[in-house]
Amino acid sequence: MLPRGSIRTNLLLGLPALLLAAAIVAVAASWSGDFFAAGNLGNLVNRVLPLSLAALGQAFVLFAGRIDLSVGSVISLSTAILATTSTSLGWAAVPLVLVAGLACGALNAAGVIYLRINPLIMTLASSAIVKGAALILMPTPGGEVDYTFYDAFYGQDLLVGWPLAVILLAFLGAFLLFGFTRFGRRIYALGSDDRAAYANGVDVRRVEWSVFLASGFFAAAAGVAVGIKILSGDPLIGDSFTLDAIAAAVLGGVALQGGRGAVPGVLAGSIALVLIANAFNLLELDPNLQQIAKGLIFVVALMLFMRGGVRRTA
Amino acid sequence: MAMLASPLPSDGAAPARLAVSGVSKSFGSNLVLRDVSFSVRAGEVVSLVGENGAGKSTLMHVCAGTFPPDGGTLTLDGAAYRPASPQAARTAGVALALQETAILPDLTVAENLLFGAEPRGLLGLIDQRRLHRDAETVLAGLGFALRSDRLGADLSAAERQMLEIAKAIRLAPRLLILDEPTASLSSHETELVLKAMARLTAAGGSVIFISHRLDEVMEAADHAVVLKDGTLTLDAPRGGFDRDDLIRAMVGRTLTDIFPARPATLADRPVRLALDAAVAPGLKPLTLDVRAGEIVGFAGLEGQGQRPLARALSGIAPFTGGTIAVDGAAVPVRSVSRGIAAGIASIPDDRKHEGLALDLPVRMNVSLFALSARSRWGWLRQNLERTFAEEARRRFAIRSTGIEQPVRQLSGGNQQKVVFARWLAETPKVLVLYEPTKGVDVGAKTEIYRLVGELSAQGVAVVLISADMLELIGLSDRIHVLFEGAVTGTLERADFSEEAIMRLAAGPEGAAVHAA
Repeated sequence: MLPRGSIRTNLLLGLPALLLAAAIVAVAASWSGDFFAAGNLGNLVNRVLPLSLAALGQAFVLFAGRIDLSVGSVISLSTAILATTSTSLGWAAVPLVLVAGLACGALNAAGVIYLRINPLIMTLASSAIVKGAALILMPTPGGEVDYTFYDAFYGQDLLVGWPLAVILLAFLGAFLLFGFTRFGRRIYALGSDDRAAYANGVDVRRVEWSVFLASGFFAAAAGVAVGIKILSGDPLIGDSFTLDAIAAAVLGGVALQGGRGAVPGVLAGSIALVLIANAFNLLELDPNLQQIAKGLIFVVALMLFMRGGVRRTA
Repeated sequence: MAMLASPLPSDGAAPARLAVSGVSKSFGSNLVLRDVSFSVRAGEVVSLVGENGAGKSTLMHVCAGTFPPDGGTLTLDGAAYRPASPQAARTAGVALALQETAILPDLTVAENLLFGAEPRGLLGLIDQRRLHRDAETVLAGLGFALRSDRLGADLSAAERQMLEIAKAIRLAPRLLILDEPTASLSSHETELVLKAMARLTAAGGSVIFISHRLDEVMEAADHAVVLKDGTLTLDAPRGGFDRDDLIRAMVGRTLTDIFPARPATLADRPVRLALDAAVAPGLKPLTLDVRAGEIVGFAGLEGQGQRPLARALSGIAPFTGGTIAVDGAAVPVRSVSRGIAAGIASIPDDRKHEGLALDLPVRMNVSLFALSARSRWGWLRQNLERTFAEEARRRFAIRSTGIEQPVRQLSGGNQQKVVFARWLAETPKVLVLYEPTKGVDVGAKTEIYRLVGELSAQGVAVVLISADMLELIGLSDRIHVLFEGAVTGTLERADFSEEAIMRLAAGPEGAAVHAA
């Protein structure tokens, strides 16, 4: 039984991504017997984790009608920081990385709010700045992430391992936040119509601050997941995440103009994207075709969820 | 002065709900409000009347805290009232319902209605079920037929307006300000709104409502206040004014001085413009004749097909079926340039976007179309352009420092005259006017009306699509009334009245209500 209100519309927007994911599973499973092997499933969860976290952060910004192109660079910087500090700081390296992510978000928010720079441009610029910082810290891939991190996070043989637990907790929390709190509703309001939101008493700056901080935070969390996985730092590893995170959100029914979409759809979109990549691997197709397929899926998703010209008819 | 504008009414019983004294406001060099003083008592409905651009909305925004006045003071129930924001005003008990601007398109009716006041249950999470039930209770109490889980984006202009009003009334404000609440409402919906206003005042609340419909003002207002060019020109209690007083206070002169005289009959003139079953998106098949020298008006509530009609006639969004003929010859108006070639000139309503290059001088704006006729092998001839522009400036009485002044610096009325000058470089056969005097002051209006009168005297067939009742009644020879994209009735000059137009504008349902 779906709850009443706009949350129902927004949940339904995630349905196509869910169906797509199911279809890919069906096709991949029928073509390759290895799909449901425990190793492959665990591998899938581990790959969904960073993408879904980055996409969730992006969703905060997209729901508010803004965009964050610095996600990839923040992920890169996070792996670099983790790989240079984990051996000396131990687990304290993780909060350090998250704080760095928040700082990147603050940079974006400050540019958008105080310098009034268009979010697209501001986050593109900060993407370059953050990537530069990552390259200075670590000019080539290297460093070392303490193996105990890997063991503790990915290595446990549990029914619901840490990666899956983190995904479920983050998305459940975000689902409640966006669907059932006044704060979440203010974010949707801002994305739906800036002026109307202001007229309804939304503190626009506060909402902008919080969504950019959230995006920076979740990108850094995704970076931690990536860094622990590769056990090292890589100043360029995050690059592909920027488009993938937006694509996952859009595929999951999030409108780039803001105000529409829901968190479960974002998760479904992330899963679908990972599955597509996984299917390409299992079917031993040219990995470069993946790039083309992802781009096409992005465009198709945009077309699918584009709203007719009813918006802001004067 | 301050003593005279004391918030205490003469009977000394209680301070006024809202007392405005000596309020002034300007934007840049433009003085919009000039020393305005009036007051609203508890339980009273005050009607604020005035032409477009008279300063009504500015005055309302000052009262509702959108921006502070430059000078003057406000008091609310006797206490100083200086709201820093619309929020602060709302907290103080002053709610403003705008013209359908504050509806969030991606939220439902209920979520919009109770935005920021959502009922919360377990863990402080919003209880969506109760939210929608509460909203249904509020809407049912007002008699508004709005389903609570429809999305804002799917509402019609009238429904958005109703929702906006419901939002303001739900706050049970001490003072409710409604900015043209009925502009897009049918007569039945208007009655519901007036009833809701009455209920609010019966409970001791006060209402200020802005309206263009004088009948409504006569019916609902305990007190009428008229603004003209930012100055208060009438402030009288019910019974102390009639329609003519309102009009005189609004426009500063009587109607016969503003509108050109019309010929007694046009039946002997040839048909200039003929539409036969012409259709466009948002417009049902329309058959229509406009004779040479005739001015045919189109009236209706907002969004009943006026815009598609104007855009189809001008060629911006052409007719998709039927025929259109000028002087008996079919002319497929498939683009703006084809329309111009066929002798159809159309003045767009959005002069800032569709009409003018604001940063270019009057000279270049005026001569845009004339140039092609005056160029030689593609080269502009500067002397001719200047002569033409000077001539146009005189003929259309464009008030500017010269032909080199950027159009942006001109007043709305003079900008509109520049648009006219451009389109009328060559006398057209058909002139299509869509809201020709929106945001234009009375002086410029009079000049535009005179010009339209002159053109029709030269045999131009004029189609006038307007929301301004006075303009339609004063200028037209015949008025067609649009409802949901179709003409629901036609009035001849002898039968013109606001009431007759409104009855037709409300559609079949409204006509039935009034006939009963």
